[in-house]
Amino acid sequence: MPVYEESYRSWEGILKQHPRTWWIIARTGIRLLWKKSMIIFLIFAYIPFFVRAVQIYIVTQLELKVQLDQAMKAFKINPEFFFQFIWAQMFFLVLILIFSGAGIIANDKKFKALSIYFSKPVGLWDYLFGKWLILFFYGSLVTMIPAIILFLTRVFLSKDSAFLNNYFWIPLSIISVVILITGVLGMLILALSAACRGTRSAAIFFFTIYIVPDILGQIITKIPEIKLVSLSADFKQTGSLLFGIKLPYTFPFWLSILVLAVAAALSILTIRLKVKPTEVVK
Amino acid sequence: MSVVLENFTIKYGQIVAVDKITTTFHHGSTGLLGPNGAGKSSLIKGLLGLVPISRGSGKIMNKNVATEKKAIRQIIGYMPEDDCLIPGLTGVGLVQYAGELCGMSKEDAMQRAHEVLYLVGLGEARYRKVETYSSGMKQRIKLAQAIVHDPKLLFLDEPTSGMDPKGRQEMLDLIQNIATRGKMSIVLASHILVDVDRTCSRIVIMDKGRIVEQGDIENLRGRFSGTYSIRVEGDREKFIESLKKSGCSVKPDGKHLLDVTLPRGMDTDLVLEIAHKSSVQLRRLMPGVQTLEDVFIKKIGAE
Repeated sequence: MPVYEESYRSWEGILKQHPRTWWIIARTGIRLLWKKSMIIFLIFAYIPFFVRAVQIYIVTQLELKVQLDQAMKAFKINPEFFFQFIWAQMFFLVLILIFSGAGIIANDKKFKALSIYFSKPVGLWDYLFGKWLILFFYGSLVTMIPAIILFLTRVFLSKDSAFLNNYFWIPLSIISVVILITGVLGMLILALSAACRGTRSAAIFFFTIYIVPDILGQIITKIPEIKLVSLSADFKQTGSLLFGIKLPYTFPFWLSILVLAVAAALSILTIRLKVKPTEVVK
Repeated sequence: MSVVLENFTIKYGQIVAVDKITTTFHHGSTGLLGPNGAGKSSLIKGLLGLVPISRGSGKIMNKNVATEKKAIRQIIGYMPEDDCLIPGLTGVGLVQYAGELCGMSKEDAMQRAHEVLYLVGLGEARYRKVETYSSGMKQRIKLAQAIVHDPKLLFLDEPTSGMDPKGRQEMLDLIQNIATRGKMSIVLASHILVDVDRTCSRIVIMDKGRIVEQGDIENLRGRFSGTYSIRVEGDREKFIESLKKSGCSVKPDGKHLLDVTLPRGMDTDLVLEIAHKSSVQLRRLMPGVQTLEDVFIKKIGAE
C-alpha cells in the first residue's frame, strides 16, 4: 500500500464563504444529462430550425431578384413568424421536460441523495433553482437559442436596417416567452417529480395535466372559457400578448396569466411540502 | 467546545425524539450510544438543521444551529445512516461534487477527492458509477464525501452498518486514524458498543430521547468498577446510613436494589460487616459493571 493511503491528511485550502451551490447543482445536472441520446434528440429538434432558416434566406435574398407572388407573401418574417416557430418547438420542449425532468427530484429521493445535498450548505431554493436551471438550459436549446439565431439570421441577411428598427424587441419577447413556459412547466414537472413515487408516474401525470385540458377545450367548443384550464391555451394567449400579435382566444389575457401564476404557485407549494432533507420514520 | 446543547428538543408530531437534552460535546471523539429509537440520529439531524428544533437551543463551534445552518454545514461533515448516493456520478465525481458544494474550488475538490478515495480504500473503484458499488463501498463513499472538505466536526451515523467483519475493522481503523491524525472532532452514533469503545474517548448514552449517562469512557469504567448491586431485608435506611458513614456511595436502584460503590481499596468485607452491624440480611451482593457494555446495559436497563 502506498504511503499516501495510510493516514489522513488535513486540507489546508480555504472554503468559499458563499458558494453558488445552485450553479454547481445546475452544472453537474446538465453534464449528467448530456448523453448520446440527448444529442440525437437535439439534432431532430433542430430540423424545424433549418427549415425556417432556409425560409428566411429565400425571403430575404430572392425578393430582390424575383417578383413575389401571393404564396411568397405568406413567408413574411414578422413577430408571428418567431412566435409560430417557438410554438412548433413546444413539442420538443415538452418531451425534454418529460424525459429530463420527471426523474430530476424523484431519483434524488429514490437514492436518498437529499441528505447529501442538505447536509452541505445548500438551501431548498438553491437546490430547486439549480434543478430548474437544468430544465431551462435544455428547454432553451430547443426554443430560445434557435429562435434568437433565426432573428439574427434575418437581421444579417437584411440589406437595410428596417427590420431591426421595427422589430428590435423580438429577442426580448422570445426570452420572456421561453422563461414563462419553462418557468411554469419546469416547476410543474419538478413538483410532480417530488410528489410521485417514480419517474414514470411523474411523466404520466405531467402529460395528463398538459394534454387532457387541451383536448377538453377542443371538444367543448360551446364554452370558450373552458380553454382557460388548458396550460397550452394560456401559454398561447400570453405568448401572443408578449409578441404583440392578435390574441387567439376571446377571454381576457390576464385570466391566462392568473391561471399560469396559480399553476406555478401550486407547484412550488407541492415542492416545499414534498422535498424534505430527511425521511422521518414515525 | 464543539457542540453545546441546552434543553434541545425535537418532536415529530406528538412523538418526542429528543427530550430536553443539555450537554456539551468537547473536542475529540464522542460516542453517541443507545438502542434503536433512542434519538441519536434525530439529535444529529437536529444539529444539522435537517429536522426542526421544537425547543431549546444548540451551538456548533459557537454558531447557532437554528439561524446559521449554512455556515454550520460548511464546517461539518455528515455521514448518514441510510444508503445515499447521486446516481449517474462516478465515485470521484460524487466526492468532488460534495467538495464543491461545501465551497471548495473545482480543482481543489477534484484533487482532494482522489486523496480521500484512496484513504477510504476506493482508489481502484473511483471511476465506477456509484450505483454499482457494494454496500461496503457505499459506506466508504459516504465517509469520503463527508471528509472531503476537512470538516472541523464529523458526524458519523452508524458508520459500520451493513459492513462485513473485515470491512468493519477497516472502517473503525479509518475513523480512529481520522480522529488521531486530523484536527476534527468526531461524534459517532451507534448502537454497537464495540465500535464506540474502540474509536471514542467520551461517551453519551441515550435512551428514549434522553441522556442517561455521559462522561469519559475510562472514568465511567472506573466509576462502575467498585460498584456492587445489593439487596437487603430489614432496616434498609439504617444500612444505607452506615454505608454512607463508611465512605460508600449509595444509590437506590429501583424499589429493592442498591448501587453501592466502595471506597478505593476496600472490598466486600466492609459490606458484610456493615450488614451485620445494621442487623440486616443480605439477599444479594453482585459485582457491579466493569465493561462499557455493562455500563450501557445497567443504564438502559435502569431506565
